[in-house]
Amino acid sequence: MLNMVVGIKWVPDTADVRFDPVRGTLIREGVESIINPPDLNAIELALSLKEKYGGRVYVISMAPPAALKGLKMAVAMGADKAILLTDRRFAGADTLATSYALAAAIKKVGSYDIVIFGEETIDSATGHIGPEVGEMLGVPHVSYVKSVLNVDVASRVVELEREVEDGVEVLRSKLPVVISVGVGINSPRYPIPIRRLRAEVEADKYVETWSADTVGADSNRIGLQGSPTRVVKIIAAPMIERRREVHQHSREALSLLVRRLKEWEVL
Amino acid sequence: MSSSTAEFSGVGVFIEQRAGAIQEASLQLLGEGRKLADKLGVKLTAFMVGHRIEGIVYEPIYYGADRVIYVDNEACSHYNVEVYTQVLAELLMKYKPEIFLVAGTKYGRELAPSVAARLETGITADCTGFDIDERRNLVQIRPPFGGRVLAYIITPTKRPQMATARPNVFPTPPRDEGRRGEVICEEVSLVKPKLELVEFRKAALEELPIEKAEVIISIGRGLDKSDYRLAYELCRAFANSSVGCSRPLVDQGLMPRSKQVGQTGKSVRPKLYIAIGISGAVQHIAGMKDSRYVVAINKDPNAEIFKFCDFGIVGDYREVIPQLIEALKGGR
Amino acid sequence: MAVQREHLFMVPGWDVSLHYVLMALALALTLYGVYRRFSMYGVKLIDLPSTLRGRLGLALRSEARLLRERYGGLMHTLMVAGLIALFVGTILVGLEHDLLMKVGQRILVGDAYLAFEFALDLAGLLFVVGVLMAIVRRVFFKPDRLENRGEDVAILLLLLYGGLSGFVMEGLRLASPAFSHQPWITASFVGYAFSRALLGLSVEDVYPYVWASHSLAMAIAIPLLVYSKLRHFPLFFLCPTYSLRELKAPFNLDEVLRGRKLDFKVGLESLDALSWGLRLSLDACVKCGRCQDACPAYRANKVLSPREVVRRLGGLMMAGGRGEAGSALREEEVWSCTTCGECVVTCPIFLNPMRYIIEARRHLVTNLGRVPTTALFNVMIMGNPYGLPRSEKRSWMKGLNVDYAKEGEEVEVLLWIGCAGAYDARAQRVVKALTSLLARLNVKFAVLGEEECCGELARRLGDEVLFQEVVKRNAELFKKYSFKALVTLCPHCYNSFKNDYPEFGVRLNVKSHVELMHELAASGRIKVGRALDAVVVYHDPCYLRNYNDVSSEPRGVLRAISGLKLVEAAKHFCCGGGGGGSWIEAEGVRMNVQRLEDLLEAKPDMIATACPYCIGMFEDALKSKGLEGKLEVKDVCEVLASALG
Repeated sequence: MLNMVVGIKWVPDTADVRFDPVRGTLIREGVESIINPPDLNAIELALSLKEKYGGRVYVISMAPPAALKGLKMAVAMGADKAILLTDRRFAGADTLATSYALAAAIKKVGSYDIVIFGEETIDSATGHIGPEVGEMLGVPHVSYVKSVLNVDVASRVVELEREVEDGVEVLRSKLPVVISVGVGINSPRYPIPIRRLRAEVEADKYVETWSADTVGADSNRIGLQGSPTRVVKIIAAPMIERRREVHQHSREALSLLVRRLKEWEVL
Repeated sequence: MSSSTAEFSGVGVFIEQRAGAIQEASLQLLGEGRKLADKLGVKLTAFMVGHRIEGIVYEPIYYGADRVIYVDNEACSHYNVEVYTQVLAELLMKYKPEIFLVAGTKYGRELAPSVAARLETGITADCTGFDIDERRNLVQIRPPFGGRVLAYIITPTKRPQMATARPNVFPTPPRDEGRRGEVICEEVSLVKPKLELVEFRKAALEELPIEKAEVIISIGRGLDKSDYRLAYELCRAFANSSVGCSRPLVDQGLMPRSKQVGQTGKSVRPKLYIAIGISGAVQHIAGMKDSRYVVAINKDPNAEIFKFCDFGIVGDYREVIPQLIEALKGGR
Repeated sequence: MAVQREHLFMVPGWDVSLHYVLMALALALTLYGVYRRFSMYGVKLIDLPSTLRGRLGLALRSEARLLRERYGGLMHTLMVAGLIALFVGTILVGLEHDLLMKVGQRILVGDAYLAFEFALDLAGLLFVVGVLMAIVRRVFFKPDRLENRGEDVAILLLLLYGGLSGFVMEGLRLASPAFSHQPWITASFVGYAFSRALLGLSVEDVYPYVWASHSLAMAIAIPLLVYSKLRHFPLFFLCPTYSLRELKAPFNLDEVLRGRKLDFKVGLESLDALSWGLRLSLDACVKCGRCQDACPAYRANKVLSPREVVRRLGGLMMAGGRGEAGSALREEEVWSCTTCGECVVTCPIFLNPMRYIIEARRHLVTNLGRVPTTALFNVMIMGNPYGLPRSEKRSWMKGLNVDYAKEGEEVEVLLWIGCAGAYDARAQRVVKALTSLLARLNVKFAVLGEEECCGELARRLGDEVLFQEVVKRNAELFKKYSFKALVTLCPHCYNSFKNDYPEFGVRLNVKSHVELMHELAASGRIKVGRALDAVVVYHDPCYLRNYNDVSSEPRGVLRAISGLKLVEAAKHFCCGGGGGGSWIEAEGVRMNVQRLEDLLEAKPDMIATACPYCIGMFEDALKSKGLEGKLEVKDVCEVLASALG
């Protein structure tokens, strides 16, 4: 039996987010939010492990109430329970403050063997949460996990594979462990529609809402207060000016291209 | 951490080495570290961890460090996040640099936040630029949201101010064997890690990984899978080149993930990026927008990619590529 | 001897008694059978009168469908016409004998009687010819599609016996001394011919036994109307019609969320979960297999046969299995279906074999989440099956130069771009052609830009939750704008808005782009400038032709183009793209290649159609056959646009 906790993030569909250069802020209204894609792979991994070893899967998200939609989707995929960690005091948190809150919530869950996160988010893409939560829980953490090879539940040891630039590491760790998985390591199963309805209609059975007080969080370590880093300003990213010399395909166009390639010294 | 900010001084850079080979990305950060140290008027210290690394510990000096502090221990022979976190945390507590930079390699992106959490300090990932503000804070510049904006971040009260930067964002500094500096070997007491390496399977390097290539021929949904060989043929017409692709091809299992360029794939900055049959979706552009020159080949004259290219050809790749290969052969 | 009917001539009393006993037994057996079957189907008797009313109107159309195949149609028409005439004749005989004669009246006299005898002999002859045709087909031709068991031939032989014994009896009667010399017996021309061969027999001795055997044959045949395939005859009138246009939802999302109760069943999780009419339908099927012949999936891979679906589920029902129906259908069968509906428009007794596939899909997807493509997950998260960001659609549309609908301002035409039109490069070209065409013709239209998927794919793949969520979302969207007509260029969107949405209170005036073009052409707004010298074969998209009877309009538009020679493929078959077909990796022979081959037989210069899936499928098929660039596939509006010059 494995008790697993999956952390998910409810993110704006970044391709649709635009920037207001006058106010220097991001325009998020009208932008749909989605479950961060690698988090779907994290949920899928947890569910496959549950199928293999038995146990339970809790999904948790530190987010505003809008994230309930994503949490219910996770329940529909097969998670046993979803926890919305929400509190105005969490606002403005950087990765350290977020990891602190998540770690507090995971401790509150009680018994856990494997905590799974998506490698990084499509909005901030830091990859910090896995390692930071691992540190705060005082347990080993592994990023870029490709697959879980085996869990010896009795001896409380897990063997897994993770990918680095020049190869694959096979690691062995004592449980509990925090792992981060990349997008595409598996195919997230479809949220079962009837279960989506169930998660809506019988929400009290499947979804819990926790605040900072529920998890006994120290208010100095959460939200803006607990964030050592601070965004000072945001500007539109300068894009390299492109020449945009576009031609219909012809022999002449190709000769011109070869000339340019020579000019650019790439030949 | 009860020490106050004032006690922290100097710029520190973690020099990652694997099997005795120093990672170029660390040297690139060392170069940036040098600039920051000069601006602040403080020392630049390189930190190294490994086993039997005496032969390479002087290298960071040649690349600009004022001193090197290293730990040489059998437990550190291969990267282990628990061991390395403990070592660095202790070293940083002892030497207290106000800034600590780590190259954003796979190991670095895991190790750095681990150390930051251990030290309860702030960390910013994947910086593309640094500066020092009027209060001597490190300004950490990074591109969130797929790179369409730049965020300026500071860590005003916690120390060290930590940051990572991806490989090839900064240039490698010149190596000057004339430079001299201090080398200190430190001892650290180590706990037995709960995580251990069982096996390391080195990947067969058949091709140049795309992040190291100077020329990338990138293919997208517009190509029929039976035509991928055309891209490889074109690739052979260039030196230091590699084939990359957009996300849908990886999702469909047609190309390996290691070749994916884009927001959820790799960010690349080659000298030349040739996009074939790629529409130019935002998430793809995010991964290659810093290429020096971009050439686009696409059937659709209204494809977004043409807005991001220096040279574009509207046409059927099945005609364009073979003719281009011919032209390139003739051109030499 | 008077020219009239001799009732029970040469029939002794014991024979008549035997007859009544046999009939009573037959009736008892039949009634028992009806009771058992009705219980098995779970018939709601209260629904029967309205069902009957609806089905009576279909009787002639049923025969028309049968006649689409010459041999099988003719054979059945002969049998049915013969039987009906004989039945009417029997009624008249019974009427005269049991009622009129009791008050001293007769109707079967003189010339009326002779005409009656002639008609009945003709009817009997037609019947026998029909039965013989049927027997020959089952014994010698043995068409692949037809389920052919010993039992089926045996029943035909029984009917043959019934027909022939009737003539033998007539022959015996006419050979008897009482009639053999009467000149008017030639009116019964068949019986007369038989009588010539039977002269000399001691007819009175033989006749009672032949009469008894005929009675026995009838006594066996009548229960067969319940216990055998002959069941299709009475069940035809009791079977509710499940039209392609009415696919009811298994629950109402709003009600479920409001009531907070999950007390309904979805899909084919068991035969119990089906309506009684769908269960009765399983029993009405005679396994003629015309649906199988019409099925593109069967033609390509033989993995899916609509006939087999009905047969297996019917067998499960007979075996008492109201429970687990999942074992009856394999997933690969269920996902091979393109939902083209050809089986539905082909079935001579108006059954809907496809409905079982849809119900099986509803069970697999809504109940179990077993969906064979990521396209639905993409619709759920990204609002389109391609999984592409919404911003990509917006940036493409910038190059279109069209007006966007504004709240509070009414437009004549609201153009629904659809997901293919928004994200697929080829379909984008069709959108461009249509929008420029409409602009040239001064049609005031606007687009939305913010719309997501119409949800059709969710409904066809069986996710009723996602479908209704999308309907709700679109209902809110449509409320914001005011428009006279919603025009779509994808038949799937068209069908969904027109036929699926009204159940949820969303009633829109929907037009397909070909209907709009046809209207414009008919009203003379289109002046075709350039002639287009080309042989064009038009392929009907299933969702226009089968679901909505839209097939003459696009042809009308093409015919309006001078120089264009319109040719037809021999038969209609699906391109393979619908029902998820475009999104599920196909194994083996592909339906689109087979359909392309059908079209190529008409030797066209160009293929015209009106659906983005069809266009994509044919261009893909051309590539597979190495014919890319040799033949063009165009949407009707693209053909029209090029003809306008």
